Amino acid sequence: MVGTKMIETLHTFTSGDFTGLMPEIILCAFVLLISIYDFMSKNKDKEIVSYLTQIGLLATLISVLSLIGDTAAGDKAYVAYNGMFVLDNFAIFLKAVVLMVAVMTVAISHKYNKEAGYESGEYYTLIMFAVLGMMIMVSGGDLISIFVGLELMAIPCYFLTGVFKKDSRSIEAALKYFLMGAFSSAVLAYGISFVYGVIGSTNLEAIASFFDLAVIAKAKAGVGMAVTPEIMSAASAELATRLSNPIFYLVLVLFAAGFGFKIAAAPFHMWCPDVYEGAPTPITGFMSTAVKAASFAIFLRVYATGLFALHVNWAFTLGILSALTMTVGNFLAVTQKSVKRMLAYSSIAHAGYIMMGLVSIGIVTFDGVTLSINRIDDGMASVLFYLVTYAFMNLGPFIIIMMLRTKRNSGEMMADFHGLGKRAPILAALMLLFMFGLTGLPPTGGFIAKYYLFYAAVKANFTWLTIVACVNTAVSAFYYFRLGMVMYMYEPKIDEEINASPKAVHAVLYICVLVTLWIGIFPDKFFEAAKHSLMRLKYLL
Amino acid sequence: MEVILGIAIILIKILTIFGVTMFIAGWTTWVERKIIGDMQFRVGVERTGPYGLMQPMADGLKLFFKESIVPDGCDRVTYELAPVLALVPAIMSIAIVPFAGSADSFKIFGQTPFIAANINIGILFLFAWSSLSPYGMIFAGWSSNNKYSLLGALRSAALVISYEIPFGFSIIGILMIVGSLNLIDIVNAQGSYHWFIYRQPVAALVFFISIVAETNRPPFDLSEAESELVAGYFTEYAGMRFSLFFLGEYIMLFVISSMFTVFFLGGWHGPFISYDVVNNTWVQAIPGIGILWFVIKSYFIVFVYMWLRASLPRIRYDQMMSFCWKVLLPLSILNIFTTALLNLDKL
Amino acid sequence: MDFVFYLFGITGLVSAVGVVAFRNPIHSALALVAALFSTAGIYILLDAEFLAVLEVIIYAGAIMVLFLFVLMCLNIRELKALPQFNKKIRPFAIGITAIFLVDMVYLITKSQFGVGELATGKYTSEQVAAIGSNAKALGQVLYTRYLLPFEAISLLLLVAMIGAILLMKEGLGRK
Repeated sequence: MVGTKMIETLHTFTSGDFTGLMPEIILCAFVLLISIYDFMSKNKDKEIVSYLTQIGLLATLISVLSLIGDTAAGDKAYVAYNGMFVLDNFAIFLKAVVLMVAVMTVAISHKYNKEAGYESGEYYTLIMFAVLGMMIMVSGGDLISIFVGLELMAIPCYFLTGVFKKDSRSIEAALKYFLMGAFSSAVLAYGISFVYGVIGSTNLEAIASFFDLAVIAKAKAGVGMAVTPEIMSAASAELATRLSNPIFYLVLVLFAAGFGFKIAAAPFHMWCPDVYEGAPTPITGFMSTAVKAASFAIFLRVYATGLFALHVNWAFTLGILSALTMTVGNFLAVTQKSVKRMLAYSSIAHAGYIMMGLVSIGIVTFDGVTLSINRIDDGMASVLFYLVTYAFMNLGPFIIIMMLRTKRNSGEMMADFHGLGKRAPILAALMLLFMFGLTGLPPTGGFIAKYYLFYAAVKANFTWLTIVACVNTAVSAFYYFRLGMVMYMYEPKIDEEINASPKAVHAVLYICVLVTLWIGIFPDKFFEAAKHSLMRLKYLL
Repeated sequence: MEVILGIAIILIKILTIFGVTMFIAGWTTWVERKIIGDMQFRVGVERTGPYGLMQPMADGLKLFFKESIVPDGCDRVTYELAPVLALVPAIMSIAIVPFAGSADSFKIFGQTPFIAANINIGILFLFAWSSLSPYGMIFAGWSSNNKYSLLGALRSAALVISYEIPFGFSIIGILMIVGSLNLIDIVNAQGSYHWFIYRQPVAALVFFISIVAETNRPPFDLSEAESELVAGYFTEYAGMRFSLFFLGEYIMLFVISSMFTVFFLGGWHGPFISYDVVNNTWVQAIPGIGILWFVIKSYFIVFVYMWLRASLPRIRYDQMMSFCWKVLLPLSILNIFTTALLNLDKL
Repeated sequence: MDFVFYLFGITGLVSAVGVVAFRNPIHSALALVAALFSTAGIYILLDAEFLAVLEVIIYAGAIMVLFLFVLMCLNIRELKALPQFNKKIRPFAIGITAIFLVDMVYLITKSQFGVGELATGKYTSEQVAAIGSNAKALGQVLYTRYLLPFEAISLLLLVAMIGAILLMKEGLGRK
C-alpha cells in the first residue's frame, strides 16, 4: 500500500465495538429500511409505517435492556471507539426512558396526523433519527460525539416542529427553534473549542484527568519514577493554576448557554413556549420529555465527570439560573390562556427544579494541597429519578390535549377544558391527577421526585434554592389547580362531542397514569434503578 | 538574493501562465470556428490573415474598443465583479496543469517549467476553483436587472452545482488506485499505455459528460440558449466585460480538456518516452516530446467538444437535471464501489 | 508569516462584520465568501492545505452558492426595506454584546492555552508531512478514532435531506 506509515497506533476494531453499539445499529437499520419502505410503498395511509416504527423502537429497547447484564457484571463500564462511546448503566437507563417515550409518541401520532391532513412517513423516520441522536448523545464519552449526537437529536426536532407546514404557528415555531438552536449549538461548539485549546483533548476522561492530582504528579515525576513529596507539592501548585485558569469561566458560560438552551433554562427559554405551542401535540410531548431528559442527561454527564473539579465555579451560577428558571416559568404560566402554552411554561419551571439536582451532585473543595471531592449520590440520582417521573407525568396532559381536539376546536385552550368534568369525567380526572403530579402532591410520583430533589439540595447546602423552589411550588399550585377548577366548577363552553380516540392512545394514556402512580406509591425500585445507574457512571473523578 | 530569485521565478511563472492562457483562449476560438465551419460545409474565418488566423486578434481589438454599456438599475458592485469572478477560476486552474512533468529533462533553476504549481492536492485545487465558477454567472445574472439574465444564471448555476457531484465522484476511483491527489503521480501511475480510460471506462464517460455540463458547452448550453434566453447570464454585458466571460469560457474549456488528458489519457506519456528502471525516472528520447503529446491529446478533447456542438441539439433543462441525479450520480457511486472492491489488495 | 496571519485575520474579521452590516443580502453573502477565504488562508498557514481547499469547495463553492440561489429568488428591494434591528432591543443587544466582548477579551488574554499533558498533539506539520499528506493523516484519524462521530454526521446529513423533503412535499396539509 502507498504509505502505511502512521503517526500513532490508532484504534483497531474489536467485536466489542459492535456489541456495545448494537441498539444503535439496530435502530439505524430499522430507520433506513423504514424510510426505503416508505419511499417505495404506494400506500398513502402510513399506519404500517407507524407500526414498523414502533416495532423498531421496541426491538431497540429490548436490545438496550439486554445490555444491562453486560455492564453490571463487570466493574468497568463499556467503552468503545476510543472513548467516543461509553455504555454505562447511566446511558442504559436514559436510553430506556427515551425509547419508551418515543414508542408512546409514535403510538399516539398516527390518527392525530391523519386528521390534520399531514400524514407522512418522514415524520416517523425523523422521530427515530432523533432517538438515535439521543442514544449517541447520552452515551457520549467525548465532547465531539456528544455534540454530534446533540445535533442529530436537534435537527429532526426542528423539522418535526414545522411538520404542520400550512399552520403558520407551526412553521414560525420551527423557524424560531431552528435559528436559536443553531445559534446555541454554535455557542456550545465554541466552548468545546476552548476546552480543546487548553487541554488538547475533548475526551471527558482526559478532561477529568486534567484536574486529577495523581495524574499530574505522575506526569511530573516521569515514567516509572516514584512520586516524592516535592513533586506532590509541585503538582498541587500546578493543579491550583489549572483550576484558576480564567478560560474555564468562559467555557462554563458558553456551556451553560449551549446546554441551557436545550433544556430551556431561564435566559435561554424564549423559544420554548412558541415551539411547544406550535409543534404538533405528540411532538410537544416528545420534546418536553425525551429531548429534555436526554439533554439533562448530557448536562449531568459533562458536569459530573469532566468539569466536576470546577464545581465551585459553576454550582452557584447554575443555582441562580435554576432559581431564575423556575420563577420565570411559574410566574409566566399563571397568565396563560392556552393550556399547551401553560404546560410549556410549566416545563420551563420543571427544568429549574431539575437543575437544582444538578447543582447538588456534590461538593468539591481545593485547599491548596488536595482536591477533596464529596460526591452526593442523591443529587445525581434525584435528577434521573425526576427525569423518568416527569417523562410520564408530562406526556399524559399532552395526550389529553390531543384527545380533546375536535373539528372546530384545537383542544389546547382553557375554554376547551371548561366543564370537562361533565363532558368527559374520566379525562378530567386523569388531567387532575397529572396536575397533582406536576404540582408535586402525593400519591403521584411527582411528590416523591420533588421531595427527593429538595432533600438532595438541602444536603448540598443549597437551602436557599430549596426555599425558592418551595415558594415556586406554591405558585405553580395556583395555575395547576385553576385548571382543575375550570374543569369541575365551570359550565362547558363547547357543545361538541369529544371524538373517540384509538385504543393505542388510551393505552398510552393509561400507561402514563399507571407509571405516575406507581412511582408515587412504590418508589423504591425506581430509586434503586436511578442510584444503580450512577454507581458506574464512567469517568467519575 | 534567493528571495529575489524566488520572487522573480514566481513573477515569470505568473506572466507565462497569463500569456499561455490568452494565447490558448484566443486561438481556440479560431479552431472552433474553422472546425464547425468545416462540419457545416462552410469555409469559416478566412479574411484576417492567412486562413483567418488573425481573426482572434481582430475580435479582441474590436471588443476592446467597443463601448461598455452598463444597464440601468444594476447592482454596480456585483456587476463589475462578475466578469472577473468568471475569469479568475479559469486562469487559476491552469496553474496546476502538468504540460509535462518529471519526464522532461529540461529544467530552469532546478524546476520543470511545464507545471507552474506542483502541489500535493492538485485535484482538490482544481475542484476548489471550478466550484467557484458559479459566482461569476450568478452575480452577472442577478446584477444585470434583466429577467433573461437571471433565468440564465439560475439555470447555469443549478447545472454547474449538480454536475459538480458526478464530476468529483468519477475521479474517486482513480484516486483510490493511485493513492495520491497529486496530478503528476496520477499521470505517472498510468505509465505509457495503462491509461485510465480503459481501466476506468465508466468514470471516463461520467467525467466527460460532467465536464461538458460544467463548462456550459453544447449540448448542455442551456444557460445561453439563444432562442429562449437571448444570451443567458451575460446578456447585458458588452465590450471588455463581455470578452472576459468569453475568455473565461475558452480557458476553462482547455483546462478541463487537459484534465481529462491527465486523468484518463495518460497525460504527457506516449511514444518516445520510456521508463528507466535503473534511475527510476521517465526519460524521453526526443526532448520536449511530452508536451507535444499532451497538447495533442488535450486538443483532441477540445475537438470532441466542438464536434458535439456541431452535431447535437440542445437538451431540455429538466432532462439534464434528472439525467445528472438519476443516472450519472448513481453510476459514479457504483463505479466507486466497484473500484474499491477490485482494488481491495491495495489496502 | 505573522504578517500574513494578521492580513488574513483582519480580512476575515472585516468581512465577517460586513456580513452582518451590509443591507443588501447579496453583498453580505459576498462578504461571507471573503471571510471563508480568509479562514482558508489561515489553514494554509497552519500547513493544513487539505482543510483549506475543503473549506473553499464546501463552504464557498457549494453552500454559499445555494445561499445566493435562494437570495436571487427573493425580492431584494423588499428585503432592504425591512428594518434590520428591532429598535427597542438595540440598546440591550449592544450592551450585552459589549459586556460579553470585554469579558471574552479579558479572559482570553489572561488565560493559558495548551497546558495539559495532552496539550501538544502528535499531529505536527513535520509528522504529517512524513506520512505523505494532510489528506492521508486526516483520513487515518477520521476512519479510526473519529469513526463514530463521522458515521453519526453522515446520518445527520441524511436527516437534513429527509427533513427538507418533508417540508417541500406536496399534498401535505390538504384535508
